[in-house]
Amino acid sequence: MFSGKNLLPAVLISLLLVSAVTAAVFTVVFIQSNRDLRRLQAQAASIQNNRLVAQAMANDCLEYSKRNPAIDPILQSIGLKPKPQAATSPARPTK
Amino acid sequence: MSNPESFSTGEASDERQVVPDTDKATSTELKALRQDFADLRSLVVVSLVALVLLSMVGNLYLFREMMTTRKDLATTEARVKPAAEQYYRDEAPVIQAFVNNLIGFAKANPDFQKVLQKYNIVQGQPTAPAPASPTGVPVMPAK
Repeated sequence: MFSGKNLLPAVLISLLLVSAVTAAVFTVVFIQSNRDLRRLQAQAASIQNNRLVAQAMANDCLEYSKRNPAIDPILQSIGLKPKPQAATSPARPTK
Repeated sequence: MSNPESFSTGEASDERQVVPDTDKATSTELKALRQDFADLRSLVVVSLVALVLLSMVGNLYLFREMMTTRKDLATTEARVKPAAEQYYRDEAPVIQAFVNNLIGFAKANPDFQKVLQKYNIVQGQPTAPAPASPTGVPVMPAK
């Protein structure tokens, strides 16, 4: 089959081998890219979830502060509640 | 009885000259064999061509999927990485400090623990216990 006069089968088998190697390379790159993409998407989802939970917790703390103002310093430290303004200084008497 | 496939030998005793009796039958068989061989070769070549075409189509599909995934990865990376860096640098420490403050607050205000339980926040890890003494008073280390 692989006589000098007829190289077609040899050429076709070579093409097939090259194609198989190329397919293996494409598959490996695809799997790695897909894995990285899933990891990034999971990271983004986790961050978003953390933000939502923190926001919900802050809302619950604000509701709780209406019943127990002792929590106000904690809420003020992260800007959830405005800090109480300092008392204005008394006006100086004019002569 | 003569055997069609038999060969007759020559009259010389030192060398035997094999002369086929059935030249025509052999050449016919040879032609058939050659034809079969050519058919098989064609079959193999056609099969190989079909396999090569099939693998090329498969490679094309894999290539497109790979490029699409890589493009999505590049887009997502450009969007998520800076946002994640900003979150872990700026927001995560604030959130963690807030939670720690709330845990400390819950220790003094047990009615707040229900709020923490809603978010499955476990109380902070206990510090290393002091050495036990009979009276329960922490024992100072001997100098």
